[in-house]
Amino acid sequence: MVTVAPPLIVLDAVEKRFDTGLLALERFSLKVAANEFVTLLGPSGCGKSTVLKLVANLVLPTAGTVLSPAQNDQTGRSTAFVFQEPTLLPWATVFDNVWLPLRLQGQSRDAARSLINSVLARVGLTNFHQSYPAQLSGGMKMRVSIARALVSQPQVLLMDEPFAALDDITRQRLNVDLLTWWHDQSMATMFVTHNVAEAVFLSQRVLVMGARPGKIFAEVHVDHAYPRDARFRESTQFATHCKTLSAALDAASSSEGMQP
Amino acid sequence: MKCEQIWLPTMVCVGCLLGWELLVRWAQIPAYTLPAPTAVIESLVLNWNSLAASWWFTVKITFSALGLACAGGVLIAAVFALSPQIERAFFPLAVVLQVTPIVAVAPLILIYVESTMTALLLCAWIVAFFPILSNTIIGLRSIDANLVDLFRLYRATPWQRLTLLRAPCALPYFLAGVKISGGLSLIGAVTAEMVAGAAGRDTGLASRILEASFRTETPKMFAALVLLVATGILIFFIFNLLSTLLLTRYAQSD
Amino acid sequence: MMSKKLFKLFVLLLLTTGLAQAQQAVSFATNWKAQAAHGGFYQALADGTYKKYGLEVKIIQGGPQVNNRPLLPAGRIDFLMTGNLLHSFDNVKNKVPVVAVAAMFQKDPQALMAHPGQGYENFTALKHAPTAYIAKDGQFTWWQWLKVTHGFKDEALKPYNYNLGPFLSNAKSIQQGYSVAEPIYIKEQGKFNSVVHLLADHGFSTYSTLIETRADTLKNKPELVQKFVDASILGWVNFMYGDRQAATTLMVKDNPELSAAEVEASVELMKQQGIVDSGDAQTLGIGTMKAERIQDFYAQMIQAGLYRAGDVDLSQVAALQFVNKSVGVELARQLVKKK
Repeated sequence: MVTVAPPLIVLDAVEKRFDTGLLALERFSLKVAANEFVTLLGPSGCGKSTVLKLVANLVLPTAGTVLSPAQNDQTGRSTAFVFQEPTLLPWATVFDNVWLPLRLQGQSRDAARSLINSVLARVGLTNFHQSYPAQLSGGMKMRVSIARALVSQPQVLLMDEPFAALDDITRQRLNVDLLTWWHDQSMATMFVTHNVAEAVFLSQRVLVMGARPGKIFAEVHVDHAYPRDARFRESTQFATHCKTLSAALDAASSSEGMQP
Repeated sequence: MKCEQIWLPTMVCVGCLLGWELLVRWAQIPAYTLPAPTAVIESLVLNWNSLAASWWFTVKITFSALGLACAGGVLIAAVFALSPQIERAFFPLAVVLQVTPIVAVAPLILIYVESTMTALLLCAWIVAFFPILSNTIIGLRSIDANLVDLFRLYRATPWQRLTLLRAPCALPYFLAGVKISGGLSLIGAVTAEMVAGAAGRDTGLASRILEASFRTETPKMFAALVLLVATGILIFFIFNLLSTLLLTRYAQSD
Repeated sequence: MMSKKLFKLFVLLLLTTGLAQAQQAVSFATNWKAQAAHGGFYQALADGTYKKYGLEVKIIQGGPQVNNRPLLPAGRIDFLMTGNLLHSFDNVKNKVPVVAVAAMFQKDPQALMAHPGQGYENFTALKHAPTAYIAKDGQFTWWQWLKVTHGFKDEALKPYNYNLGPFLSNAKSIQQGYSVAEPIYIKEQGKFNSVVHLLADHGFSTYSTLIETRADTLKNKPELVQKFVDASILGWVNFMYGDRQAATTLMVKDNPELSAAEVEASVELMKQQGIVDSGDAQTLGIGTMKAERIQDFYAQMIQAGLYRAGDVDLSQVAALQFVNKSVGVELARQLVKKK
């Protein structure tokens, strides 16, 4: 079990109301420790992405407070974001795509070369440095996206349904790899998904969110040790957690629509 | 496969030329009405010196105007993209420029502008600039919102955002605009010269066409037209090639 | 047998009178919008002279962006008005089968105009003008002659789009025009008397306002050509010396920008400058043409570099058999006596 450090990320009674009048989050509170893997599980539109954006300091709350490393970060090294789409620069090679965060911080290609090479090796794309995104499969593009996130060695890794567009086999393989990368680099990871099995497999804590407005409906601790593999997926503990979360998810989904 | 691609259209072209030649001979159409291809080629060779000089002039005006249209279009597009208020204020002006027929405006421009060459450049520029402007604006706007967030996350400077994100994103759109404007610039240059008339030494193919028309030298008219068409085709191929070279890696991304 | 002869005579008489009464439709295209320089033709139309000669004439105007010249070889019109012999030379050079059959103007009214008091009172000063507004048709023809024969320079040439504005606002500039027209408009709009230099006074000896027709019309319908030429000559006599009100009305209808006052002023200038009825025309009639003069003008154009010797077969340029018959000379004398 990973040692629990003091909270790195704190959201305290956060409210986010958009200009359109939509209330995305209401009285949302959450603490994440430095090396934790936390998953937000919920139906579409329940504000999960908004939570990540608040932590990344890309949006500001309309009420309540957010504390995260991104706030006082001048260089942009503290936080990395992996989107649902790979979001690569289509005109740049894999190498240059991964170089981007370091380049924006002023590092030349040569200075960053060894770091980029090692991270590409870690995600299994050693032979694809000079390929262009158009030449890669969906899974490979996502690996590049993750490599880009890892290259700046962030304290916080935010992932917004990154594997949703991939097939099951690729998704499961990436799940395993993700845990390895997270373990190697020790980051606070906030993962968003609506896939129950994925949430159970990856996380130490799963927070079930309800929608409109978004708030935490239930919290489930998954105590299984790391590293996790296929055997964990087949265990009864896994099944039990899935059942619990599914039930919570159902309840969360049915409770929405009661408030205007 | 490539051989076939070139062979078939070439055969069609040659066939058309042959048909034209035979028609003129068989129907005994006089040269001042419709000259045969052989007569046109003969006139081209005979008048090569004056036609070549005029051709060069037209090409210079066309590409200079295109260059200025690119510069102007990109600059104004950048300003518009960065400031929605300025865009709201000035975009109608740009539209007015686009819809005013150059045929009507050219004589006026020639009255207001001292140098004939500047007037011709201006006319060609007016015609060529709008497609580049509107396409580049779309390109600068159509950036993936996630990429914009990513750049914010890594604290990119405005310069980095412009050169590493916006400019490459806008490039395919810009090139699409340039492909359109290439041909338009030629049309603008020729129209301006034809409608307004150019002076003395510095004259392009349009003046040669007018002159030949006034002197009833129809084969020479056709010879000048052939050169104009060749220029148009050349422009098309140049920008097509440029587009392909610069944009191969963009293909089917995401 | 007597009755048979009588019957044949009767039928013949019927046919000929019938023919005499049938009107032949004829189209005639000019080289500008209706103006006093077209007056004679409109006169023949307005006062019924064409009709008397059995011609149903339709006059088609030209204009700034209109070029009627290709209509003649294309067969769309029967007769065409051209401004000078250079068009005829070009036609023959390019084997276009059209011929000049009459020259209504003995002098070409093509002129250069300047602002007064700018030092352009002398013709030789014109070539030093910084700006000369010359239109496309002039640029490729008589401007070339001016360059070679009188030292004008291309650097001064700026396109003239039949808009007086640039000339009026630029005191040092000169522009082209018809000596019997533009000075009147310049006086109206610019309120000054322009300095006028007639090119004809400096060696540009071409005939002007020529009537052209197709070579096959000449061959197959010579009587038609003769009738049109004769009627047009009489039209000019009546227009210059008689009552031209009906003609003026017709011209103003065709070209609303024209005014009756402008027409009158123009006719005065035409008389003063001897455009229509001078030299040979006074004895041989309006429309007269002489082979020597055509030859002489061609030689000058060769010198000016517009043609090379042998480019043009002069025998094809004009047909002289329809003029030089003193048509209208007596009528002119009578009309002048009346006034």
